[in-house]
Amino acid sequence: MAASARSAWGLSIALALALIVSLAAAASIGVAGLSLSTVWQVVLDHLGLANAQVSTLTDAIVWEIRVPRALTAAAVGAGLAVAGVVMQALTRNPLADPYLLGLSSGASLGAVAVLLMGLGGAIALSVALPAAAFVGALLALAASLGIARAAGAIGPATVVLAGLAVSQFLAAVTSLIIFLTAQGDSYRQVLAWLLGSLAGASWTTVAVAAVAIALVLPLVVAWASRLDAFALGDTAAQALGFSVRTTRLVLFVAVSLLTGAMVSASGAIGFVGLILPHLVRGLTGGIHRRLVPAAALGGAVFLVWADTLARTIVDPRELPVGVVTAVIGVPAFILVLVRARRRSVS
Amino acid sequence: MSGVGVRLDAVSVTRSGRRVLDDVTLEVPAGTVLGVVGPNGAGKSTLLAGIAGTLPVTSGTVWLGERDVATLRLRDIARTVAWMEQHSERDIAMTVEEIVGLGTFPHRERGWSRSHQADAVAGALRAARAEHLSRQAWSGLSGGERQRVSIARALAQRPRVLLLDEPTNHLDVAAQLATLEFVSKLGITVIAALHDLNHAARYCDTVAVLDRGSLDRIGPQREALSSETIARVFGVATSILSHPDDGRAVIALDGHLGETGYRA
Repeated sequence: MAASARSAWGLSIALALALIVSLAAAASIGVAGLSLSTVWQVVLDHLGLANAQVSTLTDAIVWEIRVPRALTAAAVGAGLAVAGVVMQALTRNPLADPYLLGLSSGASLGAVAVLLMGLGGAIALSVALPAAAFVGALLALAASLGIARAAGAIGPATVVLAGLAVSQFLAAVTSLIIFLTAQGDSYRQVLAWLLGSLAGASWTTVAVAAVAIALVLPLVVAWASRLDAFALGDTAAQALGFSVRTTRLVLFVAVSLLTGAMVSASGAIGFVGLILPHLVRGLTGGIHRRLVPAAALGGAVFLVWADTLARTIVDPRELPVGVVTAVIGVPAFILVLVRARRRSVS
Repeated sequence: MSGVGVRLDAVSVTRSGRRVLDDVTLEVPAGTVLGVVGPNGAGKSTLLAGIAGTLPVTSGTVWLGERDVATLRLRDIARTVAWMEQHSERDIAMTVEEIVGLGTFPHRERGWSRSHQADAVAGALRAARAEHLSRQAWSGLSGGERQRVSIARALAQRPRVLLLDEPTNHLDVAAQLATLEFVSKLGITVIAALHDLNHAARYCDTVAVLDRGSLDRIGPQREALSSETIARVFGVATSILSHPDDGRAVIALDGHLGETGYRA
């Protein structure tokens, strides 16, 4: 165990370094080709550590567009990966993620509803948007669990099926609302909310995503051993001395908060929360004390690069980042399905 | 390790309007092995859950030694009572050491160091004679090995009462007997819900027969597992033989007594 624990920490340190490099690279890759040193100069200048000799335009591209965008991508990737880890543990379902349980679609619907109500100033919006996304995620979760319970049990298969139904339904309602009310460029808005996009990233989205992570991550880390215990089954877990129901409920709400914040920042980006936990678990093992930090860092690195691809690959247009994560995520999802099936057969 | 006695005083459990356990009174002396038998739905698992405190009882009292379970925190119960689940087909991405380590959960508090943890895990693995498995992945273990690891996980809890819910399900015969023989010699109080009447007769000091939530009989194996009781509760005809070595009851199944049975 000592060896695997050491290598798991090694992985987290490597991922942390990779994240720093990825953020720097993402901030320098783009239509306006900027060198790494220019990017660093601007960043250090804003941190008050240097005096950059760059144009106002360059400064704005780096500090107002690329840096917040890369940081939002990192925070959203981390948040979604952690949400996925928690969901998979709580439902004991390897195929669970926020998207499958309807949280993302609920959050999208909440966010779109607020946008279309046309709340006044930008500041009101920056509070109302994540709040509505959180409420939407929470209602979607309640609907999924309610349907699962009505259908018999909170068993893994029932929850995923109920979540799928809620998710599809809410996504359709979101599309409908946008088509009925928005004018002009509504197709792109639909895509941005349902497939996810980081085009709207700003320092506000960085703050929203970072605050959500700062609130939820400590709880998940503190309860890492409880998440481990869920693998034994509900009764055996509870017999270790904690309330399974309370733990599950609190963490479901925490994940709704996380997902709501992430969706308000970037729309419903799929597959990060499903695939990253599996990829990282293969390297760290299933002990959440090691899995959670590594998954957070891995999710951050993954989404920073996925977004960099999304905004450069079909230059000058921009792909929704959800397209990139799905193109990578779907084959990985199929692999997980096939492996799970093989295990259950043998 | 020594056991602590368990006593149920007129315990009833009602679940969604149905009485799944009805006025059960019984006593399990410290360090003895009680086998709980009964048809599916007789309330065996509910009885265990009531003792583990994972399911609150509707009325009556469950005593762990001198303490009323209803007044204890889950954590305090977990320091006395361990629960061993059925053999799990589930894949868990953990090593044997990591799974056994979960058993220390109720004991972890300020000052619980890495070396405390390592010692507790090593001790439990040794006690369960599973040291050789310590570094293996759970997913690669056989059914018998998994059960051995689950025992170690339960022992890491340093329990004085061990609850087993159909511990032999899905195991081959050798693993079934190895599991029961091992837990019956632990010296702590053991309460096991069992399907196989011969397992109850062979490994338990006392046998309790549950029927539709009520306690039908409790006593030494030969008293509790009479042909009449088995016929009434399980609906099967049996002949009770004596084992040639130790004279313990051996239950030979003769046939089904219901309407579709050939002896009906």
